Amino acid sequence: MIIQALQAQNFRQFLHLNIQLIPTNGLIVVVGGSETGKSAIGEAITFALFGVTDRVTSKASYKLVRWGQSEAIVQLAFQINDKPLLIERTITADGHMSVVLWDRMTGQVIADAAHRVQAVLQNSLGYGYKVFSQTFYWNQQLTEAETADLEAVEAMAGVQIYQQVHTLVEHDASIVLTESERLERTIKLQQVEAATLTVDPLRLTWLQETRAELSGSQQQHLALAEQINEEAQSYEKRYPQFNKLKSRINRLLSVAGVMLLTMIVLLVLAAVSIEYPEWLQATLARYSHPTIWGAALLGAGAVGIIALTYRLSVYDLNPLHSKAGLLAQRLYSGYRIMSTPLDKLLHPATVDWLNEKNLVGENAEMLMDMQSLANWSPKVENYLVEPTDLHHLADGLAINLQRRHQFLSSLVSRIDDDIHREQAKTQDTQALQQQETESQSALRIAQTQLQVYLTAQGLAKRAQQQAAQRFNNATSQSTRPFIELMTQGQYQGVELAENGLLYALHEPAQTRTPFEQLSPINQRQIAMALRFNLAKALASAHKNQFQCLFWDMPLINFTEPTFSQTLASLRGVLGTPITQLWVTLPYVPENIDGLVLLDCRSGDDVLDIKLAGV
Amino acid sequence: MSFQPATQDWYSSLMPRTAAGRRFLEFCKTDRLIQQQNPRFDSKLYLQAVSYILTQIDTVSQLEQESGL
Repeated sequence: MIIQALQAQNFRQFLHLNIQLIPTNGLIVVVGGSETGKSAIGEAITFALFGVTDRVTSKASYKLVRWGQSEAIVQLAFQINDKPLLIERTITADGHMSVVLWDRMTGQVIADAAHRVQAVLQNSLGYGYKVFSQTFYWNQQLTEAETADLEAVEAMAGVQIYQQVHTLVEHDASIVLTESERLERTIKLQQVEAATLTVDPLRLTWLQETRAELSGSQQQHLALAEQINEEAQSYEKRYPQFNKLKSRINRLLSVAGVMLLTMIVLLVLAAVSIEYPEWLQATLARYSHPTIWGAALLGAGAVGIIALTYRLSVYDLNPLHSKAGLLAQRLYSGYRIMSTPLDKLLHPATVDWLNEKNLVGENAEMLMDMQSLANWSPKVENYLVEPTDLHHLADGLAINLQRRHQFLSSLVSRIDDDIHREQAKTQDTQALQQQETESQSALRIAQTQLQVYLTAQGLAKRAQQQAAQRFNNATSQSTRPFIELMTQGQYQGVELAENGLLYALHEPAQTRTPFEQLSPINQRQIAMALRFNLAKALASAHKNQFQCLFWDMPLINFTEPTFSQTLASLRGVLGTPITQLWVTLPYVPENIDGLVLLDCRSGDDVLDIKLAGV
Repeated sequence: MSFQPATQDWYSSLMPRTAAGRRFLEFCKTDRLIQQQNPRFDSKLYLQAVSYILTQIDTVSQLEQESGL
C-alpha cells in the first residue's frame, strides 16, 4: 500500500490540508518544528485507514476534530498493488463516525459501513491497525522514549509479550508465595496453640455429673432445713394438745379402773352371800338384786370408758405421735447429715473434684453439738421435749443445714466456673481446629496455584526462547545488510540470547555488545534497520508490491554528520516492496539529493502542497 | 497416573483473543508433546498454566490497546 494523496478539513490543527501528487517511490521528508502538524499528517493517514490513531481510540476520535468545528473529514487516495482506492472518513464533534471506500478506477463504492470497510482493508492489506501501527507506522511517543528501541526490537522479536507476562506471573507468584508462607506460619501457631489447649473429652461430663450431685445435695440440705422448721412450729402447737389428750385419757382410764374395781367387789359380795349367817344372807338377799345390777352398770360404764379411751388413743393420740415421729426422724436425718463430713457424704467422683480444688478439709461451721441432738431426737417422738427447747434445737439444726447449703452453693458456683471454662476450652479447641482446617485448605489452594505459576513461568520462558530462536534465524541473514548500512559498518547483526538479552554483533572482532550498552544513536539505527526489514518481510508475506512506511521523528537526538549519513542510508535501502518512506524531521537536511520535501515549517492551519509525483 | 486428555480437546477448550495468544497456543501444541514425555507431567497443571498465560497475554494486549498502542 502506498499513499497517493491526502486531503483533510478541520483535522487537528489543520483547517485545510491538501497533499497531492505524492511520489510512489522516494524518501518523503516532512519538515517542521514543534506543533507544526508533522505528526498530524501521519495521524490523518492512520485515522483515514483505521478510524483510530496512536493517540486516540475510536471512542475518543472526536478529539481529532479541530477546536470549534462540528466535524473533521479526511480523504486518502492510496493504492494496494494495482488497485487504486479512495477512503473518506468523517468524525463529528459528538463522536459520530462514518466511512466510505471507493474504487478510484470505476468510481464505485466498495463499502460504506465501518465494519465492512475494515473487513475489505484487512482482506486487501493482510493486516489490521495493530500490525500497521507496530510495523509500518512509528509514532513520536515511541521514538522519544529512552528504552523505545530495545522495546521495539523485543516487540518485533515477539519476546516482549513474554517478558511482560513473565513480570505479571512473577508478581502473582510472589503474592501467592507470601500468602503460602503466611498460612504456614499461621498453621504452626494454630498447632502450638492447639497443643496447649488439650481437652479431656470425659472431663466435661465428669464436671457436669459432679455439679448435679452438689446441686442435689444443696437442695436436700435446704429442703430438710425448711421441713424441720415447719415441723418444729407444728410441734409447738401439738405439744399442749398432746399433753391435754394424754391426761384426759389417763383420767378416763383411772375412772374406768375404779369402776371395774367396784364392780368386782360387788360381784364378790354377791357370790359369797351363801356362806354367811342366815340373817346376813337374808339381808344380802334383800339387796342382792340391786347389787348385781349395779355391778353390771359399773362394768358397762367401764367398758364404755375404755372404748372411748381406745378411740381417743387411736384416732387422736396416734396421729400426734406419728407427726412427732416424722419430726424426730428428720431431726435424726439432720443429725446424720450434719455429723457426716462432706467428703464422706458425696460420691467419690465428686470428692475427686473437691480434692482437685483442695476443698476436702473445708466445711460449713457447726453451731451446735451434734451428739446432744442424737440424744434429744427419741424424746421428741414422745413429746418429752419442751417446745422452747425443741425450738432452739430445730433452729440450730436448720441454721447448720442452711450454712452447709450455702457452702454447697459456693461449690456449685465454683464448679459452674469450671464447667464454663471447660466449655469455653472445648469451643476454643473446636474453633481452632476449624481455623486450622480452613488454613490447611487455603494453603493447599495457594500451593496448587503456585505450582500453576511455576509451570507458567517455565512455559513462558520456553515460549520466549522459541520466539528468540525464530527471531535469530529470521534475522541472521536478512537484516545483515540493513544493519551494516544503517550503522555505517559498525555492526552486522543482532542476537537474542537465551537469557532474553539482546546483543549487537560485531563480526570482524567476533564480539557482541548488549543492546542497552550501545549509544542511543546506534540503538536507533539498528532498530530502524530491523523495522525496515520487518516491514519488508511482512509486505512480501502479504504480497504487497508497494508499501509505505511512516516514521515520526526517528532521528531525534541525531547530530551531523550521523544525521545526514543515516538519512542517506535510509534513502539507499528503499526498494521493492518498501518504496515510499515518510520521515518527519525538525529541519531540512543539507547535502542530500533526491529527497521529496514536504515543508510544514510555516505552521499555518492551511497546507496545500503538490509534490513532484513520480 | 493422571488423566491425559487428547491434545485437540484441551486446545479447542481455549479461545485466545489475540494474535499473540494464538501464536502462544501454537507453541504449546508442540511444547506439550515434548513435556508429556516426562513421567511427572501433569496434564491438568499444564492446561491451567496455558490458560493462565493466555489470560495474561490478553491482559497485556488489552492494556496496550487501551493505551492506544
